[in-house]
Amino acid sequence: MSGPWILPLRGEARVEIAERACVAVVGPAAAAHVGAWGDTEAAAILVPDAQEPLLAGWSVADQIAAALGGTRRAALDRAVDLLERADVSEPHRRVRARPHQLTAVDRQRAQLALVLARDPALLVAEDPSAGLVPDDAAALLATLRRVWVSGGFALVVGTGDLTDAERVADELIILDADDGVRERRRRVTTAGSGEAQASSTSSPSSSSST
Amino acid sequence: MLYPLSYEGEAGRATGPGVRGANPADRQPAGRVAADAVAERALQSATVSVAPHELDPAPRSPRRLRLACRSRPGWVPRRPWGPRRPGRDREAARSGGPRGLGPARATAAAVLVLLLIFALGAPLMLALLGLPGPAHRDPAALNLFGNPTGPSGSHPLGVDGEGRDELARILYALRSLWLLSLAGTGLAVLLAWALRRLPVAWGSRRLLVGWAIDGLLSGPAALPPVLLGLALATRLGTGPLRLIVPIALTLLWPARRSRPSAAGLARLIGLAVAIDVSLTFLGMGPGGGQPQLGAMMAHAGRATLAGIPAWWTLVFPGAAILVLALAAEVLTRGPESPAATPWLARLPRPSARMSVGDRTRPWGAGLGGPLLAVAALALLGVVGFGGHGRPGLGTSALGRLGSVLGASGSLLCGAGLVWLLLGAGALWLHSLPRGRPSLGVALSPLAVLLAAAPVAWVSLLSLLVFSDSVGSLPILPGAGSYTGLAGHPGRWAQALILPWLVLGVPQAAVSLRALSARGDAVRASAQQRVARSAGVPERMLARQRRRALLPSLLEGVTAGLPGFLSGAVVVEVTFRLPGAGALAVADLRQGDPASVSQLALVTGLLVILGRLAVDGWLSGLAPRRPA
Repeated sequence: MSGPWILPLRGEARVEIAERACVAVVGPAAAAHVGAWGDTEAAAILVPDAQEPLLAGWSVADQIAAALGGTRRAALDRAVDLLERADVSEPHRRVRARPHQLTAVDRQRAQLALVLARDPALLVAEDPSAGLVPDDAAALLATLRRVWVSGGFALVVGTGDLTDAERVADELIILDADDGVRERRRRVTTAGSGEAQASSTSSPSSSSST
Repeated sequence: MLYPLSYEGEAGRATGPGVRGANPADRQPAGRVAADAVAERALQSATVSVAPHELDPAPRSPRRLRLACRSRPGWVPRRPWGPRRPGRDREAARSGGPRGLGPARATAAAVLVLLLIFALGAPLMLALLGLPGPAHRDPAALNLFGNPTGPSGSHPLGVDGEGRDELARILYALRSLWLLSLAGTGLAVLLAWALRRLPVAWGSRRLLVGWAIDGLLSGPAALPPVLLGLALATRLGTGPLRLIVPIALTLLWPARRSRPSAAGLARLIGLAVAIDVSLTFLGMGPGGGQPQLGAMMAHAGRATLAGIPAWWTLVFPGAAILVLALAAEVLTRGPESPAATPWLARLPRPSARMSVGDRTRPWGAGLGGPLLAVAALALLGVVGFGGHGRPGLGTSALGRLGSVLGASGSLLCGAGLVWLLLGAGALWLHSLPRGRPSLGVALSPLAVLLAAAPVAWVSLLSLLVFSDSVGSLPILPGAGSYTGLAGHPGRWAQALILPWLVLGVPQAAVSLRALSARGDAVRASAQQRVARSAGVPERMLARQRRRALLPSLLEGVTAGLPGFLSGAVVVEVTFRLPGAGALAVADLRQGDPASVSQLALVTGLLVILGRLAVDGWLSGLAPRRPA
């Protein structure tokens, strides 16, 4: 299924996500909303490490192979490729590790590799950098951005932190206290790059806040 | 212009409630203030002309980095006496089901309270019903052959072999059961609470002190409660203490672990009732001439198996225990949330401040306490310290070691096999997807019933129905028909079918409790959501669910081990299997407590070995992430 996706906020409010867009939803409850979108059929999800998204006791290779199917050898090769794509260093070694043997940021990268196995059209990340130390959080978000640039999917990141949001997304959706859309705007870009500046501060027509 | 990338951002992230909580309970929209703060920062940054990810990160001193980490919610303080991890309580409450008492649990609570009122007001009840007292013998109520008569107008539940009114005796026995159980439970809760609380009050915050106290509390729970009670029985005289002390010792660890909620209290009372009934069944009554439900069942069972037809003397006392235990069991299967019962939540919570170093406890540290308890028992039993019995080995337990071990081993292996097979079946049932009409849901009332029924009663009833001597459906050999495996394998298996089922099935039902609480949590877990969204097929998802449930099953098995061994003693006595438990009880009745002490010692070591094995397996199955 391809976009655009119309995703619900509280009440009647909706947010439209275009195909291949890279959007961050920012607000106190944004991660919860975005997490709920992850349960739609089309989406693949990323959740914070604290929710233990990987099965304790199974190696990363086994978990990715469960998603890929096919022969074990082929699945292992593909798992190594996916981990490499998710910026895991030494993927040949790490692919055999079980989740508790990885660092938190590597677990998140392994989770990213797992959901990339399906080649999703929409990737919904619910506060993926929660609980990581700041350097790791920044590195993970940079990975997420890089994977988005090279892949052909739409990325939605829900977070409470504007800094995080601006690290990743081209477009920010800022929620107000009632979870309506307060503002939707393009990311502020570098002065020299010649790209579009902050485009608007009003709600676009596709999203309505109640 | 500088972009406002600063550590105030990190601090604000932690203070904005629920922003990065991993937990849906946290996901309430925060106040308008927090949202406005985010929007304000958005407006500020809109005027900035440099993208933050293209800037070099500001120089970060290690100290500031540490502070920033500390403000992250995932960070766990390493203070030994520190508070629990914030998400865990709520998570436990969530996985346990809806909050508050449902209709079934409210009924169970009402039944418990009614039984308590009936029991405590037994004299008043008898006066109202116009029944004689529990010790009043009425020869007129016996029939021509001197046998008891069944339910009639003047005796609603019939009379026993000596012409005493059954209803009066049951009410008085319930009263004594309640008083003993409540005394034991209260003592255990008080002791556990005081032992956990006092070091804090005295200002000791050492991890080691906490572990030592936990070891003390958890030690006696590793011993089979019935054997512990029997081993202590001769040393505690013939008063009520011989029941209260074993109950209190066994309940120390459950009391430490459970929350002061209706479910926690019901679990403690259910355990206390089971121990009380088993011990009085084996003849370790509190004295004082009060009727005891266990003793009534034992007496009625002996008479019935001897061919005196008086089913009411066996059925009604057991049914009274069943109702009581069933109510406690239903109440137990609820959320153990402190918020479930506000009236109890106001009590000081033993586990809130005092979960000392639970996450940092080294592997195997939990075995120190049980080892200590076994050592104490060794002092009591083998050395004979403080006992009336002579030191040394028991008279008969070691004399016929081969056949004794054969009988006990046959019983334990077969019943353990039944237990594990049923557990594996339950694991499979609970890994089925939720949408399908689940057999597990249909079977759960049966599991509750089986878990609540007293083992002694079920054994006697099964003999009453199926044994070829007195049974109404005589298809299996009766009590005392055990022969060795070597002599006649077919007869060996036939004689053991009933004991295996009677011992194994309730154990499986008990360990199902842990599984059914966990099944829904596993289905809704983040692991399943992520795997499903990654395109893992349903067959593999079910396999992963089974894998995630396996540790719960194993934990249930280890936790049930002492109860299993206790039940084995009761089953050996009822079915007259010539095993170690039955012989030790026989020795004890003849005034020789040494073999019971040794048996308790050996079974305690068995439990420790089993726990060690399962702990080792679990550490590979579900490795803990570093905290």
